[in-house]
Amino acid sequence: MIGLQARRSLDRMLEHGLRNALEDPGTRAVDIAPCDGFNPGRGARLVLLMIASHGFRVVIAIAFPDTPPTHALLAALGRLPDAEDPAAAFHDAIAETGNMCCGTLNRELGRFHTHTGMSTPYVIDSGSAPHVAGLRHGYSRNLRIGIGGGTWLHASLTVDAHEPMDFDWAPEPSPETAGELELF
Amino acid sequence: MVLVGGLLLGALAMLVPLLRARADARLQNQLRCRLEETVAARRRPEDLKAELDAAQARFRLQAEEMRHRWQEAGRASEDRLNATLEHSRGMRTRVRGHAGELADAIRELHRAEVTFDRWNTDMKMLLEHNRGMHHKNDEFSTIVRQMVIVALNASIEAARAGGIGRGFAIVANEMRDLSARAEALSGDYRRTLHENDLITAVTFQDMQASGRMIMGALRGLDLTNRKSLESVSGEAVAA
Repeated sequence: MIGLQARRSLDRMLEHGLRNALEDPGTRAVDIAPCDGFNPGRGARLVLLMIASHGFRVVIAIAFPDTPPTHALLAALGRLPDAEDPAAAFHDAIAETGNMCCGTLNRELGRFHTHTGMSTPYVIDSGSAPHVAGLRHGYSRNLRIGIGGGTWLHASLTVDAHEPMDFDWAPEPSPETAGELELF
Repeated sequence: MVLVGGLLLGALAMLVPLLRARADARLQNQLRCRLEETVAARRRPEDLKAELDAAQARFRLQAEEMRHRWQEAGRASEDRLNATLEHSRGMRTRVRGHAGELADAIRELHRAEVTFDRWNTDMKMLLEHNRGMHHKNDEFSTIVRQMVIVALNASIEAARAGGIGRGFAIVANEMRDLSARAEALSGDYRRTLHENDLITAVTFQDMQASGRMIMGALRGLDLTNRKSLESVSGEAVAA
């Protein structure tokens, strides 16, 4: 039901979305690698998002450990202001990050599917993560994300389609600006 | 010589009147011809006038006939045009009516957003309810862990009591066994609650995302309908 081209395209979209949401304009490198299973362990918060259309649904889950390195990362991305309620601020920051990632996928999927809708993010405990594999799906992929040599996050993509799904997508190359002359 | 000359003069005298008579006859003939031509030429404009009058009469007749036919054709065309215009006006009215009904239906369907909001609120309530069950299970788990410790202590105390404490040891072991089963049950219940959280969130997210997809399609439908209305009414239609 989900063609090989579509699977590879969804993988690329997820990676593109994660980089959009996590890449620091500064120096931190985002290292994304596939992994077996989706088990981020205890003490993490799981952001859930969904894209739905007539013929498929895509579930994206990103696990953020509630640790100082994650807080530092979110602060560096400008999403974690000093707040009176740090727990609420952390919740909002990870929800926004998940939203950015899923928004990228939704926008790119819109190039192939006219009608799609995206949910708002929900944050639940990472204890639910092992059950993501139990969701009905035709394709799934799990990723481990390292940022700046530390701060490991986990992400999972689960796609369920009841109509044939096939398309080919690749990110557009970012415009090369180095060495250009500015003309006035 | 004189004789020849006299003969020549005599012949000449006879020939000249003859030649004069022939020339007169030829001249008279030419004059007659010219006279006839002149008479013929005087009569031709009258004929031409008569022919012209006849042609004019025929032309007037044909023109009258043509005018009559043209008037007939014009009247028929006007009738057909009026009928077409009437049909077109009726069609425009019907299309405007249908587009208006569709716009009302779309407006009604937009209110479905309230339903999606209600589902969203329900989901939050369900997740909140699940959180409450998590807390209760955590509390139960803490109690069970304390029971395990108490049962273990009871077993130790029973062992210290020796033979007197044999009965108590049996009860303590039973308590340990029950505590272990309760702990396993609590763990299993925790896993079920986590799975329940995921299923609840995903189910409601599916409803929310699908709802947004429907609302997006409705917005597209509304835009197309408004364009149709503008086309038939010739004026901008407010959103």
